[in-house]
Amino acid sequence: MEHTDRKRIGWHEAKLGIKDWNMEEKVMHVMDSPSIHNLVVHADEQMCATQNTGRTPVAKHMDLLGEIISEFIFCEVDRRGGRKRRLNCIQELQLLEVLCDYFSYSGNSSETIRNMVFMSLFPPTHSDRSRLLIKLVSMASSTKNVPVLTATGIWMQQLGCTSKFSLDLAQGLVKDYFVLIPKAVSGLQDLPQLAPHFTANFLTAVAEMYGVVEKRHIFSPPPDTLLEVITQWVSDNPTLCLAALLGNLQLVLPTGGIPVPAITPFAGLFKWCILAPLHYASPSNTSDNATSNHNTLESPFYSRLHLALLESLLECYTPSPVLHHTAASGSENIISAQHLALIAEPINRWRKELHRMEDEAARIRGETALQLALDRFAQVIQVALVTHCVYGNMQELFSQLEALPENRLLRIVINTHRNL
Amino acid sequence: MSGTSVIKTVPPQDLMTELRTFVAGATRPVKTNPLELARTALSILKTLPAARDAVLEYFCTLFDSAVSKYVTQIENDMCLNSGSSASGHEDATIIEIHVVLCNFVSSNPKAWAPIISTWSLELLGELSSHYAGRAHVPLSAGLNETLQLWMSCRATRTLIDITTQCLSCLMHSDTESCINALLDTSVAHSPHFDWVVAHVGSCFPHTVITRVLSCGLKDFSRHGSADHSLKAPKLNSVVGILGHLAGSHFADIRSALLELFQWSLEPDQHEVDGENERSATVPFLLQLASLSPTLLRALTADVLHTLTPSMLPKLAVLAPSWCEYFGGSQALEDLIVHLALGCEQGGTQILKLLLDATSPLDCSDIGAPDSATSAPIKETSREILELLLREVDHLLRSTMPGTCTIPLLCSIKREMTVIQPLLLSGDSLRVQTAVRLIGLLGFHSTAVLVSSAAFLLQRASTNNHLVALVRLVTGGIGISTSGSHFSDFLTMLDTLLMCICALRGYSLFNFSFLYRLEHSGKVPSLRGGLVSRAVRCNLHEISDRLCTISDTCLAHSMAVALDLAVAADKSDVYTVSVQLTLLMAKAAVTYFFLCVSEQDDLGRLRGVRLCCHLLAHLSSHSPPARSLALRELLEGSLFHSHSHLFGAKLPSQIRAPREEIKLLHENHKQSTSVMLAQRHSSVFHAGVIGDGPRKTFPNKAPELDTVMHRIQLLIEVIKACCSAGSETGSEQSPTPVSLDSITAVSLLLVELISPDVMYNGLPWPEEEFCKVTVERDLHIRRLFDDIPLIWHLMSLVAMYRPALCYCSVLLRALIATLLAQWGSAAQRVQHSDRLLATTTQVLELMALGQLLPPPLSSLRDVIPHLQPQEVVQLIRDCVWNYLRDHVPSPALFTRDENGLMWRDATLARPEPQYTNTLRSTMQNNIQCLGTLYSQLFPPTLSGSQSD
Repeated sequence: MEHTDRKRIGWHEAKLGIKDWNMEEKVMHVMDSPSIHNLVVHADEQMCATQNTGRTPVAKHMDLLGEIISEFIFCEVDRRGGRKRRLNCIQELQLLEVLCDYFSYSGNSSETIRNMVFMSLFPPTHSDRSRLLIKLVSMASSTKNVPVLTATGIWMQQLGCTSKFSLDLAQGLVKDYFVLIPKAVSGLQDLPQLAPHFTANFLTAVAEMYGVVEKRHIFSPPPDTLLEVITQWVSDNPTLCLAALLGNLQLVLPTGGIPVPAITPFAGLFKWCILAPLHYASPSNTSDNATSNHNTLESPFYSRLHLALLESLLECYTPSPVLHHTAASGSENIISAQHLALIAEPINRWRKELHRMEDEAARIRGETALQLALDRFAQVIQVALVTHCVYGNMQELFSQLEALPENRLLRIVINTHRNL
Repeated sequence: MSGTSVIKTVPPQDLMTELRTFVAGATRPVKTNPLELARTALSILKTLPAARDAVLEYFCTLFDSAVSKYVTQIENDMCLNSGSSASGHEDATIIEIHVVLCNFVSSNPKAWAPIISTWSLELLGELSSHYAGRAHVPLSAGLNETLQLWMSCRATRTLIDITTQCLSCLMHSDTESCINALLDTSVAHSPHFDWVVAHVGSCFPHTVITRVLSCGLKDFSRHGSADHSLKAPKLNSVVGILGHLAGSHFADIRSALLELFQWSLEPDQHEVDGENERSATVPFLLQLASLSPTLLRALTADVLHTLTPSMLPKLAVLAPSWCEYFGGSQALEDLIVHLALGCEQGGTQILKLLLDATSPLDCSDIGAPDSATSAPIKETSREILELLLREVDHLLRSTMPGTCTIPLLCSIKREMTVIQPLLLSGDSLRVQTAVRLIGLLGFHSTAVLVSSAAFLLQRASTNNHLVALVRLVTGGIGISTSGSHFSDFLTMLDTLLMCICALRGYSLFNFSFLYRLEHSGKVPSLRGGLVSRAVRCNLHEISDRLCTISDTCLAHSMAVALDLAVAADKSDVYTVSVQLTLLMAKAAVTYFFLCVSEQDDLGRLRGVRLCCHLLAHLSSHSPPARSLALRELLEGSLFHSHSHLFGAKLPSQIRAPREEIKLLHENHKQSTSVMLAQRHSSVFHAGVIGDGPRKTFPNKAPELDTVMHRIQLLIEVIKACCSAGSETGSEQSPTPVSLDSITAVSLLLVELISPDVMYNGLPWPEEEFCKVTVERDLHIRRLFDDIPLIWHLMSLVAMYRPALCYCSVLLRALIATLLAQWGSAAQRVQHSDRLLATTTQVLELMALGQLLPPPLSSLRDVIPHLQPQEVVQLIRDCVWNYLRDHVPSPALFTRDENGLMWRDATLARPEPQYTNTLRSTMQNNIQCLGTLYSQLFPPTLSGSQSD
């Protein structure tokens, strides 16, 4: 048995020409799994490093790397490629521990290599590993493992913050911290300082996650704790939402990596703030949960979040000495006009629903909520346009705005900016 | 990315340390304090969400070791009987874990409950299958034992508690996933896991039952049709769980089953999945029922009631697809039959359904025009019915009587009132089925057979019914051919007749019909003499009943039965006890009086003839019966309430007019009467003072014709009683009357009519002696006047000579009174016709009885033409003196060659001293008695005499 294993590893070595393998493979099978993990992760790092040192990555190498990861790190397959019994949870925990340790203590290797290792560990092709990824990130969040979080932030952006992977990740984190153990949230307070890039991407994903809902409802409200934490993050760190735009991804990506443009959480979070009043005055909502007061009142955090977001926008416009160059370069693609225009559609839909309502009191309440929503929308448009944060098809946006119900502020905003 | 150089704060380090401690502790069996480790795990669980799964997994090992310890301890305890040692730290750990997990669940049920419940269910499943068969609870142990074992273990109890808490949180929102998880685990660890489901089920009965059923159904529809040999894996679990729940939540199960069944019959709403399940529902239910008697009971309780013949076409459409689940229609039918046999209730329902389906009474039920669908239904249901009955038959025959219990039969037995009317149905199938069924039931308890036979006997109105009865009765014997049952059967018939006697006449009519049927010998099954034996056993009851009955119709039937019973005894030695015979005689007499008073001529005649036959038979066999019958007849017809039937004059009733009497008015009257004391009030009125004289209400005398007719009938009956009792005598020619009995009649008459016991002898005293007996004579005479029947009886007696001799005292009294009357009539100008008629009657009677020989026998013809003085003379000389000198005794009579008693007129010619008066009187009145005179006293003879 051992002999064949050695041969196999020897084969790896021959192919790759990595010296370290010699040493490692000898102990590979006499060690317990955490040590193996440790070794293999380091080996991977070295492989990634070799790839990154100018040699063009060969597809074969990548395959081999994938195989090694699959067999020795995640133990998904046995050495013949067949399915293997999954790691039990404690072993998984051990693996996570090893991974965390690896990322936090591999100070000598560059960020690029770390990112490369991370991406090869969790490639989009292995969707089944996302469970582990969620756990890893969750663990990193609680243990404040910055390297992991940073790598995750880049991973999210590269895969797209609104992609399924990112949404799954965001979902997992939200479940861990905001649903299951709300007490653990306190550990997340300083997340924006520790890993702003990750936090920004996480926000984008979360905003997307709760913003996109099924047809019947306008909006699915996030858990209160999540809202609270986000509000605090945004108000405490005005630049948080812009974090994804800051910094050059190209520098930290492996060679040949093409940075994916970041999407700021602004549009998504604005959508929350604008639609929230409608949701809480929604006829379907009131009829469903008329009994529980909890659901019929809009959380005060929405308006605070709204304010914080607007302030963030203004912040990035203010030509501060530190941020001047970034703001200038990034101000154009902070908010997509398309995203903003999407907010108009649920409002119109909701309004139709309101007209169908029979209860007079509820309709009046709905009308008030609608005006509030439109006010907020108008404020967003105003600030965004003034700060030149909007990019994309303005005509489309304005035509959508025109179609909205009548609101004085909105009218003023439209009239003001149409003429420009 | 400048934030990488952030200094790591302390808490994360702590967290990592804790994590490392935990991982180290959990992976290596290092010597760590388990409690400490558990605490670490719990704190990690609270602070490090990522470690959740691992911590839970670690808890698994904790629970596992706790259970293992528990099980080992039980095993050791069993072996060594040593005291238990508390496993303190583990308990503490478990309690802590419990608290924490419960807190999680209660703080956010929606998020935590699925996680925790899945975890605990899986753990429970693993534990229970891992330790199955340990701790002295065998693998085959029942649910309750397992339940007890596990509920007494703290670890598993805690887990169950956690599970139920989770489920109770989820029950309102997410039942489907909960129960699915439950059942999935149950399937994975079946059957060791059933106790969990059962326990959880008892916490949420309705949900669990419904869901368990639907999951089972889904599974069944998936597996059932694919392979017949392999049962659906979940089926046994479902049965086990439901069986456990049935104890406390039977109603829930019932309603759930009913809902499921009704759902399966709803029209499909274009669901692809649902269709398959719908069609599998009924097979599923059947399969369930076949696996568990409890569920069968639940099914029969409700589902059966909803099943009506009108639903059958719907079911028939589905039936072909059901067959797949059982491997052919044959197997399905067998299953159905066996299930039906196991029904503890609703047996009649099943039967009715099958019958209704086989031959619908109401064609609209099944839709007669649509014969294409109804024909197979009929055929199938008939087949099932037949199979059912045959199976019962087989079961009964193959076991010892009394040992085999078929629930279906018991259920039917309890509802006999439903089955019995089927016997009267016009539909032959129903009747046959009922007969067979009752026959089968009778195998167990004859009481059923008896009551059914009684039922049928009472209500049978057509011959078909009686045929059914015969089949029922003989069929019952057919099953129990052995001798031991024969006595059973006899007692059965006894009871049967007892019932009958107490009930309506219809039954007896039927019964007599049956009897005749048996008598005719045409029905082979009745050759055993069943019916007659039955009647004979119940003669006493019948007679008793007949004595008191007032319904003529019933009486007729009873009498027929009685008559048949008695007459059928030709072959047998007459062994009936005297008491019974007497009773029968009395009954016959009662019956006779009943008949006589009947309005319908034909019925009356028939009844009397029956009476005659019966009495003749009885009295010819039993002298006591004869004398009793005679006495009863005479007494009844002469003196008792029946006497008016025969023309007796009843004392006229005097009734005081009934008026409102007011005290005030009375007082007024009083005052006037006082004032007029000397006048009206002193006048005597034969009445109540103030009401005037009493009024008499004449009795309505019956018509003479009727009376005569009745008397005729009575005479016939008496004659029948007196018949000599020759066995050869048929009904057409009346049997000769025995003289002894006629003598008895005459003696009876004397006894009844004469008020004295003394001086009733045959001799006639001197006329002077009449003065002593005048009171008695008048009494007798009065009776003769009031009760004309006596005359007829006397003439009957007179006809059978010499019986009249014994009545000489009566004749004496009559003559004595007549003498006196004629004497007083001589004082008057005109004598009454009545007197003359009576005299004529007496004389005629005596002539008939040959007490007066010719020519004295012709006195009656002479008297009407004579004067009272002459009549007095004649009676005194020719009658009184002759009889005084010639004592009317049987010795005067001789028996001739025909056996008849006779008084030879030539030898007994009266001396002239007795005839001279007659002769001279006739000569005095020769103008009207010439012809008679020449006949009575022929010239030659008179010439020689006058010489």
